[in-house]
Amino acid sequence: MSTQTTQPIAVAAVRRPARPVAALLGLGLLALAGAWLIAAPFVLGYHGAGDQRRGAAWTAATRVDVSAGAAVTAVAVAALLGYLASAITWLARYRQAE
Amino acid sequence: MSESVSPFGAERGVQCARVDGFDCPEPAFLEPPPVLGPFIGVAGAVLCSLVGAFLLLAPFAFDYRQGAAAMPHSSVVDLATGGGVFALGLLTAIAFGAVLVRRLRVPEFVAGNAGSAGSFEAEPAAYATSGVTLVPEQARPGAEPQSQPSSPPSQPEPQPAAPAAATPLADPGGALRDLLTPLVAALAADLRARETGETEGKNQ
Repeated sequence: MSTQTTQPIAVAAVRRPARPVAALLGLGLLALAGAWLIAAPFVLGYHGAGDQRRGAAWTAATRVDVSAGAAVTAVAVAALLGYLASAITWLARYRQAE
Repeated sequence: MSESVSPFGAERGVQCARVDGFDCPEPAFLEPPPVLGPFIGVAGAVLCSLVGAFLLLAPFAFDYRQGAAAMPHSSVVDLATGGGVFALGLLTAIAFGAVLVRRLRVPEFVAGNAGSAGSFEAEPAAYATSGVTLVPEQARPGAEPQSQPSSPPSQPEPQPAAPAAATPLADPGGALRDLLTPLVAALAADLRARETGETEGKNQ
């Protein structure tokens, strides 16, 4: 009959970092805000002076809204994809055994 | 018998498992934390906040009103959405920045099981003081029981040193002190010998 004694073992581990859920959610909301900016001049149906009218040439406000919305959406989606790509790269490089 | 066991040798993430008083080697094998993703997030959020600031200024810069008495709806939408995008971009940048700083500050070298999921904040004291702690082998899941038929049960083997003495991982000041102490001692001895030689020369 063998006697089992408690052997101390030093175990060091590296844990997977926590996901920045709030920050990623912020990027998603930014992308949605950019999409809203693109759609706003046509959805709200502006009727005031200087507003975008249906069928008319784009006003300066409409051009600014669409371009800024496209920029915000593109940057937010690119940042989300970049974060996803970097996370996948890190997992593929260091977490193959899990 | 002193034996070094590395049951997780082929597995990434667990770097050291020694028995019988062996200390773990220097943690030159630590996995670098993923910092590229938070950096991309910070850059994207800052760019979005800049676009939001532009939207706040656009109704006045491009004169949407064009002499009208009331502010057009496009100006209201631009101001509201621009303010929201600006604030949300700043908050997102702060959140990603906090994540980036947290990942760069402390090596994520915590004691425990490699397979257990958790965040860096789970055990801040563990990697703030020492990256390695001694845990019983029987407490580790999946560990094979080690039998010792040769040693009598009445004479337990000497336990290894305390966990704090295992590795000076999170004590760079102590390592620097250990490095500089002999140098300072040698310098003091040199100065003392020089002063002694000058005194003897004056006496002669």
